[in-house]
Amino acid sequence: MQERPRAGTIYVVDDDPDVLSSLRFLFEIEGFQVKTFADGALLLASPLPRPEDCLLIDYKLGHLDGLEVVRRLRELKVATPVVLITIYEGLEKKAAAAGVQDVLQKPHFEENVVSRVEAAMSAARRAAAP
Amino acid sequence: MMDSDVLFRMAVEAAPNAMVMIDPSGAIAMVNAQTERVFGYDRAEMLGRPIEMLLPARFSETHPARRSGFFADPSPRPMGAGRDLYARRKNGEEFPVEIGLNPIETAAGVVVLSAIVDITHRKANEQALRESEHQARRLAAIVESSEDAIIGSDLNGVVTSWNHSAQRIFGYSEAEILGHQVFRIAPPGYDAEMHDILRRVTLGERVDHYQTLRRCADGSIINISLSVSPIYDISGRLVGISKVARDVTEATRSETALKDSQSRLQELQAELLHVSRLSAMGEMASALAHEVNQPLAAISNYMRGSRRLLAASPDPLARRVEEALDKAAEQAVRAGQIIRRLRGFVARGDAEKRRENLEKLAEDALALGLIGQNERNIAVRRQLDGDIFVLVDRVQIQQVLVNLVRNAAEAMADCERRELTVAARPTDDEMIEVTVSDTGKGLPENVRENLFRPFFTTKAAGMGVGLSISRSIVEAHGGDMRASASPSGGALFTFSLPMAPSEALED
Repeated sequence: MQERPRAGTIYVVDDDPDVLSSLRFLFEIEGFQVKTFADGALLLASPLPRPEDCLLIDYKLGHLDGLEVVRRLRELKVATPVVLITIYEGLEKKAAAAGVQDVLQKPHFEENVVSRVEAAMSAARRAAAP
Repeated sequence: MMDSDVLFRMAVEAAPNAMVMIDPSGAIAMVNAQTERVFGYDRAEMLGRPIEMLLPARFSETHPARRSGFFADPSPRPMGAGRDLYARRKNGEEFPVEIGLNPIETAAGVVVLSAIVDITHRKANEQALRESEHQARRLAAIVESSEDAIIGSDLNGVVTSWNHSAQRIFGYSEAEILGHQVFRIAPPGYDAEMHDILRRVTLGERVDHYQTLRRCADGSIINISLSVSPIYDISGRLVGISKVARDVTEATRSETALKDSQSRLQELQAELLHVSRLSAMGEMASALAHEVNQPLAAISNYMRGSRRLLAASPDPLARRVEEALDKAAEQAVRAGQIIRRLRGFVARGDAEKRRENLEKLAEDALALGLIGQNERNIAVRRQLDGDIFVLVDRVQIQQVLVNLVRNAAEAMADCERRELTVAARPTDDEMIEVTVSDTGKGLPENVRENLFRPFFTTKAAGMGVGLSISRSIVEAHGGDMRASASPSGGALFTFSLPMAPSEALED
């Protein structure tokens, strides 16, 4: 029931398949295109996200953690906004250094994941505007 | 008036020594009472017999010629001229003698009167004296060469002897201290103790291996072990006091150091045990939180999505489903809070981050981690800078290091080459990178992938939480931890810790 299709694709990387499909469900309802990846290597091997997209990535991910994936994307000059989701606390500073726009704590009941993603996307658009 | 001959005979008879007169033929012409006592013959047995009867048999051949020589040129002199002379008693016993020869002119010609002194006792005394002098010299040499200070004093504490070691230990030369009070080597406040020792010893007591302090010439205070005993003269009179002092400063110091390091190690072990229990709990809580948070996150996402779907529905039933979804969301929130509280309970309080010297942390960890590994002969290399300070919970980071050190030691147990290297260096992002590497067999790819997973272990008796806890601890400090292969093919663990701000900045 994608009532109003929206610009931008949400790239989701999480090694938990249930979390992955729940995020797909949530963001598709909001009218986004959603691409899901079980690890960072798969994401890096696919066509890379564009600046108008958003990457939602888990911190703890097998042997290539979320921040490392972001670092590599930034090296590849990928400007896509990134929201890090994690159960760990106190990662803000490290995340910012790696090029992450926002950090969201799991299980994020109090926070609206969608609005945080939207905020990151609009901030990116404003920054890119001439 | 008595006849001079009678007077002469009376004088000879009363002489305290044996007196024997012989005529030019060597026959005994006269003896006195003392001769009878000394030689054991009756006068009648001796008179008219050759003088050689009173000599040891070995002189009987040479003596007549010497005797004739004397008669040819008689003059009063001691007999023997430097030789030891011996006479022989009736029972055959030889004894040392001194003999004085006196020629006397008589009407019948020259006779010789010999005075014979039995010097057995004198010889024995001389021998005893020589022996006791020898003994005294030997004792003096022992005293001089003793490693211990040996000090003699009179009953008032005036120093009467001071051996070489006393000079070496206390720094005073013999000349500086002889005749002075022994209290000179008492540290401030120790006079009373020395007086007490002197008093006890003058009452005949001995003091054995008494541990105390003394002061040296340069003012330094040393630990000594003291034995004090009374000195008696030959008649049993107390004439002085002898003290034997051993410098035990070094022994005392190393004993104290050993005790200190043992108790420090015990403290560290106790702390570590406490924290590892907490950490194991924390790790389980953490693993549990992680496992439960994932489905909770999924629940949260599904509910938000469902809520959005329903909002667009005109169906009145949708309102009731929305209500139910809100209530379900509240319950999920509650579950999440329980998990958070559990993690918080275990995590809080134990992390006390302070500025710590990394080299010191590593040294403690090596001491703890290598307990019981001595027989494995591990060469430890340290590439640590003493000036590296990190902002960490000391005990937690020690646990990480001990874990890595133990793993490394165990990994090399069956290897020929056993080298453990602990290194640290600052990185660009204000972190300190610490590495612990070994020359063991290394980590196979499949092991390396799972290394940090809770309850993963390659050890028969391992629980599999060590590395998982270690990584959690490092991450809780804002660092990260990874495993790779060392250049030697062994395992190389790297983790990072936040550099501590310099103390000057903290002020």
